[in-house]
Amino acid sequence: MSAMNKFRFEKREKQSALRTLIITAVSVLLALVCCGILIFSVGSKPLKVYETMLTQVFLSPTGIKNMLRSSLPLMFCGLGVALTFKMNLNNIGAEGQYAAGVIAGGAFVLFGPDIEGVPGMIITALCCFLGGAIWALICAIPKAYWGVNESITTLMMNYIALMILAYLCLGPWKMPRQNTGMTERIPRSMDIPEIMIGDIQISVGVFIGIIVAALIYCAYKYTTGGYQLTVISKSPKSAQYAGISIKKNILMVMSLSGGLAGLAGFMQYAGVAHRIVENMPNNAGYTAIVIAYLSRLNPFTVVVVSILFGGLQNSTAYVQSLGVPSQIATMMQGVIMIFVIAGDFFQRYRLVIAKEGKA
Amino acid sequence: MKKLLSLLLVGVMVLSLVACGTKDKDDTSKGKGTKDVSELVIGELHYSVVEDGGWAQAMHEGIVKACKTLGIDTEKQLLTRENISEEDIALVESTVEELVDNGADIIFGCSAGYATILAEIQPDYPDVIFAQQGNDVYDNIVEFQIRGYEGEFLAGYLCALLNQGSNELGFCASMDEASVRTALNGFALGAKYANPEAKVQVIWADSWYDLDIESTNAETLINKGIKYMGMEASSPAIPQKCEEKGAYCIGYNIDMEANAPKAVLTSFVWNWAPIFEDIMKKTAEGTMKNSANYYEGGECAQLADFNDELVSEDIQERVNELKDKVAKGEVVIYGGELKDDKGNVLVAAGQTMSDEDILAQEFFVENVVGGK
Repeated sequence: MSAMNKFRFEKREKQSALRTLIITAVSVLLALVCCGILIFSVGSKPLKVYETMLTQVFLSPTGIKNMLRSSLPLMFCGLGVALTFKMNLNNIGAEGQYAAGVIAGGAFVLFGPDIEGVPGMIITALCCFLGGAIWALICAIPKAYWGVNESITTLMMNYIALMILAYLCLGPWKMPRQNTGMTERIPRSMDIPEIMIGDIQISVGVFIGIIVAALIYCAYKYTTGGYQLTVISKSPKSAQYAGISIKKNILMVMSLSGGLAGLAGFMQYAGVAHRIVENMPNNAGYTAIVIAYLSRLNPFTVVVVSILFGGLQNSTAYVQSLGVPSQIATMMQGVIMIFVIAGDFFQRYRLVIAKEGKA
Repeated sequence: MKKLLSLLLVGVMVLSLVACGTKDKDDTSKGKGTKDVSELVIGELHYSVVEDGGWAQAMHEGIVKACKTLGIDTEKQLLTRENISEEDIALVESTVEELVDNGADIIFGCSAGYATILAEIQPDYPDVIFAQQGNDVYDNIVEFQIRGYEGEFLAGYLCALLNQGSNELGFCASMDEASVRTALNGFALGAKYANPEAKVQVIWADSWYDLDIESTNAETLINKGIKYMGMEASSPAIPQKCEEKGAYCIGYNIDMEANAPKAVLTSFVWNWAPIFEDIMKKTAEGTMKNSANYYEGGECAQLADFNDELVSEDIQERVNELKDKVAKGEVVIYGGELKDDKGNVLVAAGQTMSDEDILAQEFFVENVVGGK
């Protein structure tokens, strides 16, 4: 027994920002070393690859533009997922809620009254929000009233939403004379604008993301609803004694979370893709789970991490340009993710080495 | 609540202010003009990897073949980018940017899904030729497509000839989409040409790539007593299932004989090289028009070499004869009278279907069973 007791993990009581920063940096560094071995073994120069990634993807004006665009769906899904995780609700359904949002928004753009420009944008965004919210409510109601496991239902609902989306894009909504599953372009007046700051083009969607993050942050800090959430997450029993309605909160948080995932669909639709395509969410809803976890559910961190993930996704092509096979390029994303998550473990726990006989 | 509201208001104000800013287009100007064809730099975008044993591989091999013919160094001047998902628009855009940065003169979009994206960003890169697999939809990108139905027609004909004593043929299809229907209908028409009673039972995978479903579908057909089948699928799962169960099939995309030598009679192969060669030559000359469109049959839509063990010389000859007739225009595949599977007349006697209708086919021909 004593051998087993030699090492154990203890939960850290206090979190320090400095330690978080150091551990994250070390994790990324270790990941890069690990990827470096892979890159070297296929005959490329690791440092050259990293330099290209850094200068072309993360620091060049066009790289930043594309990184921000790629981050939009991740950001909104991530904000939504973080919201439910805060209440210990496992919403795995951002992918499907995203799809449902796109379907609702697309229905308005394609078949609704001819409203364009900013009013059209706002209505489409609302439709997307509602679509995602309703999709999440389908799982939230059974959870609130009968305790049906939301991890299972939200996951299953993903497949249904994606199938409906694929059916619509390949079937009735398909653009004429086109073989692939996509709809007509959204009217140009409804594109989410992009502004120039210096020589960097930035999608306005990013600012909306920051505003939403700020709203969530303020809601946690200053509203009773936000306070109730914190209480429920810490101890559902005491929340009940305090007269907080858990049912109401489940419904509210799930629909907000679904709505945000739906908004992710709007961002991709009006801001990036400009059309609805067959498999639009493209795993953003699942990546969002990782993002929410890594961000410790802090909305501002979600924004930052999403942007970095966007860049990581976009680096595939640049890495290939240096002769690294595409599989290794994709693998690098996974390696970096795993190292950062593993590093996160050491932020939450610390290794205690007990002296023999004492423990 | 007041704090929240004021924050929201400030946010909206900031937004409306910044939204008024204008967009700038960054122009990457490169000297346009003639250059030697062997100096061209070629970029290619693939949704999967080029060794996928299917669609992407056929496309990549076509590009490599064209490069070799024209003396383009594929080590240095062919920039292959794989795993560029068509759904990830930002990724496609940043890949194009990277290819242009690396000097690409032509960018080949090797899957139909890139069309809209490339057409949208083309104005930003006036000196680059975008060549995209697809129907003639856009005026600002070069589009190319092969009359795959010509090869499938021969494949259906071959299967029906071999299928002595039975009228039932099979077909494993992927997704219900125009290009897949084109293959299926071509196969069915070829079968009908050999045997007016021939029926083609189709089973759908409802997926572009799924080894399990494809192999189950082949087995279902075989269990129904079908011995010969065509396919529109990207993996060798169907040929392998056929080999296991003693049935026969036509490979698709690339020559699949090596995957299942006891089952693959021949394969329908995409021969893109002649089209790519033309695009490369014209780009080097500076005469490539963005609005150009290629829709080629003949040598582009061929069957691979026959499997001599399974197809007798006599039958090979008959298929080759039909090929010549199609090439000479003596046999018109989409000629009238042509009916769909519900009995409606698609093409009246003496008429021919337009290319536009062939490309966008929304029908199944008369002898297809199990169409959607």
